[in-house]
Amino acid sequence: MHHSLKLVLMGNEAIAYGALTAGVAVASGYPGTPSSEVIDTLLELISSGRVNRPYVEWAVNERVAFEICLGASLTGARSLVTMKAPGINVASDPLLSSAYSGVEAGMLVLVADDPGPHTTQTEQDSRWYGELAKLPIIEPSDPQEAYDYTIIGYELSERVKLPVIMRTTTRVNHTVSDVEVKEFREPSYTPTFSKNPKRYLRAVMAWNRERHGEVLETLDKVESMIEDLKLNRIEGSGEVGIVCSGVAYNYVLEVLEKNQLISQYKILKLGLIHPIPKKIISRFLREVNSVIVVEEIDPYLEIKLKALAYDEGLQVKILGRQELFPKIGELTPDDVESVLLGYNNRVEDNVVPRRPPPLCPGCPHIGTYMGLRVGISKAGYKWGEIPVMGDIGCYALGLNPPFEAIWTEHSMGASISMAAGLKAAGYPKPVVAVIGDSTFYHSGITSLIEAIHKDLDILVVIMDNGTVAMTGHQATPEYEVSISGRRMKPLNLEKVIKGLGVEKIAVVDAYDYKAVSEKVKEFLQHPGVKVIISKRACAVLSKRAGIEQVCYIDPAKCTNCLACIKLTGCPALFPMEDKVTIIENECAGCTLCMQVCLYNAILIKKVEKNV
Amino acid sequence: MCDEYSIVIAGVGGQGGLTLSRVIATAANLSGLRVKTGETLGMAQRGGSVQSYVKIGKVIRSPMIKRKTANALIGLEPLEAVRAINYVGLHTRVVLDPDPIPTIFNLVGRENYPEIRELLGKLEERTKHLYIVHARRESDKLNARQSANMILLGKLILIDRFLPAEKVEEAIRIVLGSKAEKAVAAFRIGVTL
Repeated sequence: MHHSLKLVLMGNEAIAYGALTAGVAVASGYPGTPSSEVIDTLLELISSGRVNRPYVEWAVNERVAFEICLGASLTGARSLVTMKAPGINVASDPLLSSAYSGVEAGMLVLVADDPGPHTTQTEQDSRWYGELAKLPIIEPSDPQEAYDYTIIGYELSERVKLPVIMRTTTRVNHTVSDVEVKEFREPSYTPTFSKNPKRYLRAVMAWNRERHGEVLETLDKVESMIEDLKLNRIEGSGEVGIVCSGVAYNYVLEVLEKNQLISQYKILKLGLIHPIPKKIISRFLREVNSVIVVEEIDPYLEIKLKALAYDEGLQVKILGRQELFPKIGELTPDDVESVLLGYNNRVEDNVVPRRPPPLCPGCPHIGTYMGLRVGISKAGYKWGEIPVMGDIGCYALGLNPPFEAIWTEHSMGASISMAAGLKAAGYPKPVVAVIGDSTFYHSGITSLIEAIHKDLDILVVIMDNGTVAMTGHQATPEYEVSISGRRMKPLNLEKVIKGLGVEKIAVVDAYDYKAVSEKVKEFLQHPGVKVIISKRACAVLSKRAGIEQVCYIDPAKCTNCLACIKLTGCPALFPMEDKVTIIENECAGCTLCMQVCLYNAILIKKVEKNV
Repeated sequence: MCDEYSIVIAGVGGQGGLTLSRVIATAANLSGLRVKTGETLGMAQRGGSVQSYVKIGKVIRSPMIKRKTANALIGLEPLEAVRAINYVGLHTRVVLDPDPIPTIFNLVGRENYPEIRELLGKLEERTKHLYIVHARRESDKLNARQSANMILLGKLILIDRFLPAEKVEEAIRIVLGSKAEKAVAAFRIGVTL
């Protein structure tokens, strides 16, 4: 019954295992680093036949994913929704209403913040959503706790009848560690849904006011309702207090243990982050002379503790990120040691040439950017003269040489609406928006509807590689069979856009950069909204499926002009002494380099399709 | 082995740094030790700088490593090894494949790749324990460039013996499944270099 097993798991895998141990029935989300591997893991476990019951699918965006999980939970199904930090902004509309309607079965909202940031547009601290959305937040400190807290999160959610946010950071999501896991539990519920207008209808203001009061009352009781779940604890007996949560707890322990200082400190480790557990904090503040708060990103706990100390008339000195630690960037054990030992142990500057990730060999975005560059020039403009508004996905790597193409990269779908904004303001030159297929479905589609309806003059290039590439090839609304094996009804991008009323639309092969350029030139001369779908499967997936040709250099003809490298930026091309070579097992056989070689020095050879 | 052994793995996305950290973590688990790794994934998945951290021992707290305290740095590429130089102290073993991989700035002629001697010099200023292993050249002989990482791991195990070699091989088989044979062969080259 309580059979347990020690596995080596990444934090995100541990969360997936925790959800299955808790009998999750519905899981959804939108991919985003560092959160994606939770749903990826669930899908893998389903496709390998290890579990079969839960509905696990990627959704079109985080808001839809949230609402799917909310609806599921109202029927009695435990649900899990996952997202990166900007994703909770997308989901914030239903998130804020959800405290008013509450849930039936437990609902866990995983939001993965990215201090650093490593891979995120903002260094956002999503713990503030607790206050805004009036929902409980828990925060684990390592993969084992990520597993345990996932299970506890469902218990907590069902006790308070509210969705529970589990906030993690990159160093929990992407840490691999030994994790003790218990058996998975089959979901057991019969889906039912009872009409209850006061709870589920937000159209009557008196009900909303009443629910607001009830939610506040529930939040006041959370700490005492969950004491047995042991989310918060006091350790040690020293006179200096440290309050911490998340991965910072481990930095504190490491520094104190290695410096034999553990006996001088008393630590309050918080797992419940919102509402802050006032009883235990208040007791702690009375037991120590001073307090250092160690937490990841904003001084959230620090501000809460200072307010609590003020309310209770306590004189204890409380310091944290506002006074002691760097205000930006990821916390490190060195930062913690510097503060606790009182010396400067900050990492010195280490200036090393940058190595941004390039577009992959055979990446279809290379062809699209080549075509865009040539097309803009054929239309009579200089490259870099007219704005190319970018969006979120691999194609944002077009910011680097050799293209340096995009002028903005802001938020999902913003390429199209910000381009429209330039035209609304009367910007005199043509404006181009580039966006990927999944980002288009996520949010670009509503931006496009707006631009079409207002008849603004923009050229939209949809770089359609048929997958969510950057986060590890998750499913888009065009997948016929989901990764879980479920049959789906695939959408068709061209039909969708034609259906919206776009008249100037073309579908071109991204590997035919001249064809892309011809359409760019033609469309730039027309008013209104024009759409080019530049289509070709992600080269990583094509290579995985097996390619049938690669390119190679004829050394007798190569003049080492380097045009192939400078025009494509393809990492499979490698300059050797006085010739270029093509690294054969890197090459995807896209022929874009061949198309620009004026000396016919690049040739194709057939290869055995090896997977 | 000491109470704790910490390794920084520095390389370029696609070189197998993350696989390497997973193999070490699994080998530690098979050896009854606790483990934590810190990985940078996502944007760095292909062609960009990637660093991962592995800590194994009796009790492991932080997945991150304090500066100058790494027991070892596995450098899959010299520029990337120097990028991780803050972790290198007097006692750090650096096992390095010295063959450069140019950045996109080098390829399009914007910047020159630093002199290799200069990069090695920076590492030697920090530690006397620099071991040069032409791992990619060796793995090319096996027609298994993807296994260059295992050659470097083999070399490090030979130097510091922080995990039993047979547990590492078992871990390679668990992590890589059907693709493990060449990796095991590469590892065996590493332990004899």
